[in-house]
Amino acid sequence: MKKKVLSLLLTLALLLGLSGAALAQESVILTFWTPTWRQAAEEPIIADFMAQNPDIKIEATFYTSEDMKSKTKIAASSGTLPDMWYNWGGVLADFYAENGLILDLAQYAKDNNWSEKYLAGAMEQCTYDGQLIGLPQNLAGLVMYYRVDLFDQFGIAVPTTMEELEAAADVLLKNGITPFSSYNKHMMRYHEALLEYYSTKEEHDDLLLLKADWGKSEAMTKSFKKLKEWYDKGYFPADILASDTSTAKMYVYSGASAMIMENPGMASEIVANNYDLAQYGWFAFPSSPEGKGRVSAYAKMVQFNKNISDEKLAAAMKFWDYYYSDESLEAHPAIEQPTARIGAELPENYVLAQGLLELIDENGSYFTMDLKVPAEVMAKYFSVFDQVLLGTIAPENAGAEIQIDVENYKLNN
Amino acid sequence: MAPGLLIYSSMVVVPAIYSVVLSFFKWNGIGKITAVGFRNYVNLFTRDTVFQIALKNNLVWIVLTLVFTTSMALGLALMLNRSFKGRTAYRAIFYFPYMLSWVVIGIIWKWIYNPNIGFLDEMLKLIGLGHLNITWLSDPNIALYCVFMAALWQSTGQPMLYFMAGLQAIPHELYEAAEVDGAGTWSSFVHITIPQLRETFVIVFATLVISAMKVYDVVYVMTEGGPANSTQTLASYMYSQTFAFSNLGIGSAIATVMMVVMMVVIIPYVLFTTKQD
Amino acid sequence: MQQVQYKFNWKRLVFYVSITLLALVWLVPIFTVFLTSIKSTTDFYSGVGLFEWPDIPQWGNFKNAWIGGRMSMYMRNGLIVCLCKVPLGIFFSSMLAFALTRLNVKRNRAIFIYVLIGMMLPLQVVLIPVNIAYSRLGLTNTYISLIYAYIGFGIPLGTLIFRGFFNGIPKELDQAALIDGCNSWRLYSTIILPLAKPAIATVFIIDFLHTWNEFMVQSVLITRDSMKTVPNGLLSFFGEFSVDYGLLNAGVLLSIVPVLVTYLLFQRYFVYGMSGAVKG
Repeated sequence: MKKKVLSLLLTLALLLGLSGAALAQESVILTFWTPTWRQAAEEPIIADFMAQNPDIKIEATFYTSEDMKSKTKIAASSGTLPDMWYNWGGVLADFYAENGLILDLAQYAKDNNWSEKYLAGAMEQCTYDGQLIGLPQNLAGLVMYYRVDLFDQFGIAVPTTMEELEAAADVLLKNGITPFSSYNKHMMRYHEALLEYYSTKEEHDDLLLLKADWGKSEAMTKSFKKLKEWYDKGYFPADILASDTSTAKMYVYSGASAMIMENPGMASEIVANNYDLAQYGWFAFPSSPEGKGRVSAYAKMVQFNKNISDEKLAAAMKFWDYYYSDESLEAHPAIEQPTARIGAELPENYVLAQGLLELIDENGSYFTMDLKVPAEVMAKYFSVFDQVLLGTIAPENAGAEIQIDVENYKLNN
Repeated sequence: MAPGLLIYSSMVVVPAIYSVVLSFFKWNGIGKITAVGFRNYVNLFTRDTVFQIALKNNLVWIVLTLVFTTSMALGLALMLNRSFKGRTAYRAIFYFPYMLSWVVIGIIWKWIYNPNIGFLDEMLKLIGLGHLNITWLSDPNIALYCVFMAALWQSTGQPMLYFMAGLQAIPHELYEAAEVDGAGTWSSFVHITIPQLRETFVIVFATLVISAMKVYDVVYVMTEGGPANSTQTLASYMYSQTFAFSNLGIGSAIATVMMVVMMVVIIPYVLFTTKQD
Repeated sequence: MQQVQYKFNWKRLVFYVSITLLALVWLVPIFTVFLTSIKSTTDFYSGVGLFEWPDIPQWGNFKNAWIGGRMSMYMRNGLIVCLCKVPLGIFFSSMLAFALTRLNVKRNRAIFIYVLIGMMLPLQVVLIPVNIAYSRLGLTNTYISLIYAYIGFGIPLGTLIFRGFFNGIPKELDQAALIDGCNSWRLYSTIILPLAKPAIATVFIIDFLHTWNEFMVQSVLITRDSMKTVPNGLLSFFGEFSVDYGLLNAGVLLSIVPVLVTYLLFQRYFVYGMSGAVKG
């Protein structure tokens, strides 16, 4: 009896295991890993695409940001990468190119005139060592999203200089509103903007490339000092050191906080959730003493597995052409904007991403810090960052602390 | 016997040996692999401050769990060992958190600690201490203890059951004899219950130490090791080294250290349990 | 003790009050989960307190979590894995324990120690080698790979509990059976195993809990959304943007139902079965 039950269970298990494989016969199956915050937009796109192309099946898996980073690395080390996957660019994307895991799209792009299709800035961000390491999706820049209704209520004008920004924050603070929402990993965004404010462009770039000494940078000290001052004044939510990105955004949606430094994904989210568009707006963080300055930016892309077959690649490109076609953009208003396609018009309800590409074009951009600085050094950075805010490391010593790990990193690589 | 051993060996022992070997190499998981001897270990113990914090946190965690989880579990087991109406229901209630996955525990307790809308915040307001405004998980001095509270809630159920099983195995005659001798409740607790539970204590301590060394998911969900690495544990740091920094060698070295610490605890336990044969 | 039970007894009252209070405190977290599960997103943003009953309870959250949130799928996957893994795991670890306690295997102590070492290993250690092996064999994204891995990880604890329990079964039984001409398979299957019901129930509950809740191994070996089990399914509610806390908490409550049912089914043997582990 026991034996029978067991053999039954075993057969059952075997069948279940095999049923996955059996499906693979009929059509081209593309596996695709993508972040959860795109799920709302991408699920319908995929469904619609598959309805139009019954011979192509796209299997998407959605991961949170942190998982997205670690799962692709685990898959890389065991040879189980999907056919295509989302990437933020920078060191995160370079890793796969360095280790020969991705398909170099340079030739494909040339043959298919991508230079007429995609913004040059975005293409450049997807280039590593002469290879085109991904299909550019979005050019993302970090700006200040704010609650228009709260600004109106307290008579605050949109700030254009650092002084005005601080004045606005003080007014909000006096009225019981937390000026800036964020959480510790994203406070880096405020910090790098302040770093840009206090340093020259060359110095900022050299710091990111680990060419300049973090310990000897005057701008590093000043920016940490300013941030500590803001933190002590209560410019940020109380739980900032143990929060997460969705909580940070929730404070803005609930009106507990008035501003947040975010990428245009925020605009997509507001549209996707049907929040009142009239309540939100954006302005450029005054990252230069004159006002507007360079913007922290990165290209979001899709990378392709180097083992992808021509048949699959053709199917994949068909999918991406559909993804960003006028038809799809109209049918799927939650697609992340602005896209990296030349001449793509923003949907009308995308007031919140309007003008962003122009801003980057006008003022230039610097790499978002965690996309350029290696993960080990960033881990130290975040720890030092927390300690500066908590007062256990003086802002003057913060840079030198991080520099220790920069040296370690250089030694090991 | 053979199939069980085979599955176990292929799934657990072989990969573990592979990982110990890996700890003497430098490898990013994909590219070139270089032998570095003991360098990974030397660096961990001499230069890596995060590793040292993590090791210290694990040791603190062991002490906390041995003191609080054990006494909580024993206390509950003593209460539930009496016969009274609804006993099984109460047992189920106290065991209940153990049925939840760490992901769920993390989600629940993150809510509880939220300084704006969380449970503790509401509680403080309710008793008029709203102005205290403690930032629980954001305070590196208490964050580890806050995470531990969640773990305490979750992990009391299992040792409680061990103790209940142990208490049931104590012969009644012992207590009756003690009563005849005029011993009070406290005295029979100290002189009968505790010594009779000796073997139970051994398994409870061993399992608690093992799980204290492996603490990972709850930290991952609640704090990701922050603020300022104050809640970093060996398992969470190993995960970052391996999967975020692609330092498979260093990650394996941390895992090996974990194994060694656990063996120090568990080998006496194993010898003890197999002694009777 | 028996005779005081029916009289009023203030000691007893104190006992009841204190244990009930303690139980209530113990349940507060799960109660907040419940209250959250019937709230809408706007309830949060408009600042309805954590302990306030919402104006319009959103019972629909449960349905949405079940269908839209795909809890039905995640839970079905979890059940498939558990129902294959747990009986097989019980079979293998009880056989192993049987051999160790009954068959005069040489070096049985060494083998037992070898098995227990598995309890000490952090699972992260095996992730990469196992993942490499599975991908070479083409077994990623199959239930079989997951079930096989879980059986391997579950063997130490199962063996520990069964071994302790079997040790408590008098050896005289074996002798009697052997005289009756039983071979060891029949001894195992017709005599020892039926006596070990409490231990089986115990391992069933514990194994079911561990398998149902396992997060890390599953998240590496299964990358298809359609094959995820419960913890990772729940995490996919946790979108980077805008978590719907009501839906998430409804999902949490739904995910608890199967483990609760399992516990209630087997709990009457539970404490007794545990004694195997305790007695060593």
